[in-house]
Amino acid sequence: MKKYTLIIAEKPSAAERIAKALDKKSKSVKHENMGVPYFVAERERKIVVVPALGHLYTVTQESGKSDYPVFNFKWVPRHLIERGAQRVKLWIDTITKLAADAEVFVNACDYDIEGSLIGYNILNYACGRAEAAKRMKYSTLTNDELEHAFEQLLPTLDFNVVEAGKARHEVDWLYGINLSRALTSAAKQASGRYTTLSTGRVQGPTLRFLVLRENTIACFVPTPYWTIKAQVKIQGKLYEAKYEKETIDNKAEADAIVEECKGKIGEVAEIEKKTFKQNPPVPFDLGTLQSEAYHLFGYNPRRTADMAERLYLDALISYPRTSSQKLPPTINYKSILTSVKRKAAYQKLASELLSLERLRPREGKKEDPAHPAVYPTCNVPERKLDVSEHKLWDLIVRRFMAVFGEPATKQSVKAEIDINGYSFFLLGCRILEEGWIRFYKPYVRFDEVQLPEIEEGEKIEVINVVYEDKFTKPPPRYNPSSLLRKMEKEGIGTKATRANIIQTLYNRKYIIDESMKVTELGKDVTTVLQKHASTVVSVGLTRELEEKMQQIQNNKEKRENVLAETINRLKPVLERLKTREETIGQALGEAVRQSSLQERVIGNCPICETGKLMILRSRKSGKRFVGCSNYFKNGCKTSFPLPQQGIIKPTGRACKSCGWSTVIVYRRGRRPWSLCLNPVCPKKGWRKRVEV
Amino acid sequence: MKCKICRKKANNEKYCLLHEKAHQNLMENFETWKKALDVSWEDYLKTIMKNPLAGIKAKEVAEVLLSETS
Repeated sequence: MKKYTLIIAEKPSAAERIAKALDKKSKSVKHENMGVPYFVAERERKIVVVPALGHLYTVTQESGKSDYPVFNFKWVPRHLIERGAQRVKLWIDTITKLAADAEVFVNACDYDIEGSLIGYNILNYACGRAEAAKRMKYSTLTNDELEHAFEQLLPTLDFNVVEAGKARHEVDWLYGINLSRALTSAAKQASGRYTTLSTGRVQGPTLRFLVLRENTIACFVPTPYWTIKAQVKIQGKLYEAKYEKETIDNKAEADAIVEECKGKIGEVAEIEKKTFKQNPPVPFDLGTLQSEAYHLFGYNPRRTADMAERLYLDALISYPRTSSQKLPPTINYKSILTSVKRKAAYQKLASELLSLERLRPREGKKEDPAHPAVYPTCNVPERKLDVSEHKLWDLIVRRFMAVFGEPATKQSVKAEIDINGYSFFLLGCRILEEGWIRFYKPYVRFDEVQLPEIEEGEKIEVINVVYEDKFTKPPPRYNPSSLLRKMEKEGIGTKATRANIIQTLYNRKYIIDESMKVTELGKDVTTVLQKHASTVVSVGLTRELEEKMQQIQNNKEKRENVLAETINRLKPVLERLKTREETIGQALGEAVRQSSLQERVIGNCPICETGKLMILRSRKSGKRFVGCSNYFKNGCKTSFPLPQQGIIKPTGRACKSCGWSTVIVYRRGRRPWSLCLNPVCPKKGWRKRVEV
Repeated sequence: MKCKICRKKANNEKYCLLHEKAHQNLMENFETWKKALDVSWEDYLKTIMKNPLAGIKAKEVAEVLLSETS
C-alpha cells in the first residue's frame, strides 16, 4: 500500500471535518474497521484521519493490592481498567493497524494540554512514532483554517505541554487514589458498607469553599435595621424617594424621621445630572461564557461547556476551552461579520459594523497563548440547532458584534427632595446613546428609570413616608456560576476541569440542589480532611501545583521533580491517615449511613404525617415498594407499589397536581419519567381520560 | 468534653467549634440589637429563634441560652 500521512483527531466529528477540509475536492471517504470510523482524503499525497475517543490511555496502579499508600503507576489503555470501555480496544487496534502503513504522523487533537496528551499517548503507545510526529494547530474547524494549519504543521509535538499534561494526570491520580482510598476504607470500617468517598487535589479545596460558606450561614445572627422611603407625586405620577441614609440602626430614630416628615410638603433642593460612558463587554473566555449563560439561561457550567464543544465541532464557533479575552485581527473580523450578515437576525447589525472605517474590538486582560477568545466562525448552522444550542450560539454571535460597538452613553439623575429638613433622593438612569447595547440588546440587564422633568425649588406633594423593618442577610450560597468564578479567582483547577469537579461533588452527594447545599457527608469529609490531611488539601498547595504545571509547560520545571515533591508531601499524611482510620471512620460512618438512607427517603407519609416514605424491599417476595418508616413504631401500614424494573430515585419534589411525593424512574431505552405515589392523583385520571 | 448541643468534640467547656462561633455571634450582636430595639436578653434570644434569616446553629445556641436564663 502506498504510504500516507496519518492524522490523529480528538473525536470522530473533528476527524470528519479535518478530512473533508484537506481533501482536494472536499469529499473525503469514510471507512470503518471493526466499527471504528476513519476518513481518507486525497491531496498531494493520501491522508488518513483517524479519531480518538478523548483519552484512550489512563494512569493506573502498576502493581499490588487496592490499598494505600500507592505511589507506583503506569499508563495503560483504558479498556484494561475501566468497565464499559471495551470499544477503546477496537480503537487502539485500528489506529495501530493504520499506523503500520503510515509515513508521516500528525497530532491534530485540540490544541490544549489535554489534546496534546491524547495525541501523544496514541502516537507513543499505539503507533510508536511520537518522536517523529508533527503537530497541527488550529482554533476553529473551518475549512480555511484547517487547510492553513495543515500547510503550516509544527515540526514536532509540543513536548513541554505533553509533560505538563502527564504531570497533571499523574499528580491528580496520586492525590485522588490515595486520599479517596483512605476515606473509603475508613468509612467502610465504621459503617460496614462500601461507599465510594472521593476527594482530590482540586475537589477537596472546592468542597471546603462550600462548607465554609455553609458554616457562615449556619452561625449567622441577623441584626435589625430600617430604611425610609417617601412616596411622592409628581405630575400625577407616583415615585419613590429614598432617605439619604441607606440604613438606620435604631428604630426610635426611624420613627422620629417618619413622624417629622409625615404630612409635609417637599421641595426639590438640587438636581444632579451626570453623563457617563459604558464600554462594550470584553470577548468571551470559557469562564465568562459559562457565567453569562448561567445568569441568562440558567445553564450550569458543565452544560454550557458541553454545548460550546458541540458548536465547536460543528465549526460554528472557535475553540471554547480558552482563557483568552483577546480577538487578534488574524481571525479576520470582516469575513466573520460578512458571514454573520447572511442570517436575517443579524443582517442590519452586522452591516452597520461592516460600514465602519476600522474594526477594533474591546479586549479583556486575560490571555491564552494557544487560542483567542470564543468567536463565531464564518459558518452558519448546517443542521437544526436545538433551542439551547441556538441560544448559546446567538449569545456568542451577539457578544462578538458587541465588542466592536461604540461605548454606550448613559445619564444618571439624582434629585434631592427636602422634606422638613430631611433629604430624600429620587434616582433615575437612562440610555442616551445605545452604542454597543444595540448589538447585545436581548442580553443586557439594565432597567431604565425615567424621572419626570422637575426644577430646583419646585414643590413636591408627599403622599406618605414609611420605614421598612429589615434584617442583615447571611452571605448567599454559591451557585454553579459563582463557584466557578471563585475557583478561577483562587487559581485552582483549569478551564477544562472546573465544571466537571463541581459535577463530581453532586455525584458523590457532597452537595445537593442548585443552591449547592452541603450535605452532612460533605461537611464530615471536609472536617476529616481538614483535621487529618490539611496540608494536602489546602488552596495554597493546589494553587502552587497549578503554577508548577505551568512551569513545566514553559520548560522551567521538570515533571519528575513535581512528582517526587508530591509523593514526599503525601507520604507522611497517608501514614497518619492509616494509623487513624478508626477515628476517621467514626467521624464519617454516621454521615455515610445517613447519606445512603437519604437516597431511599421519598418524602413525608401523607397518612400518619410523622413517618417518612421510603423505598423498601419485601423480604417475602423480594419486590420493591414504598412503605412508611413508622410501620414498626406505630403500625402505619401506608404502602404503594413501584415498578420492578429500572432504577428509582426520589425527585425531592411534590406532584404539581396533588402535592404528594414523586419518584423518577430510569429504564433502559426509555426516557426517565416522574411517577406520583398517589394512586388517585388527578393527573393519572387525566392521563387515563386522554388514553381513552 | 462534648458539645452540649450536638455531642461532637467540644472546643471549649460547652460547645463545638461551630456552636461556639454561633455563640460568639450571638453575644457580639446583642449590643446592636439592644441599641436598635432596646430589647432584653431573653426577648433577643426568642426573636433570633423565630427569625428565618438566623442560622440553624445560632438558633440552637439561642435555645440553650434561653433555657439557662429561665
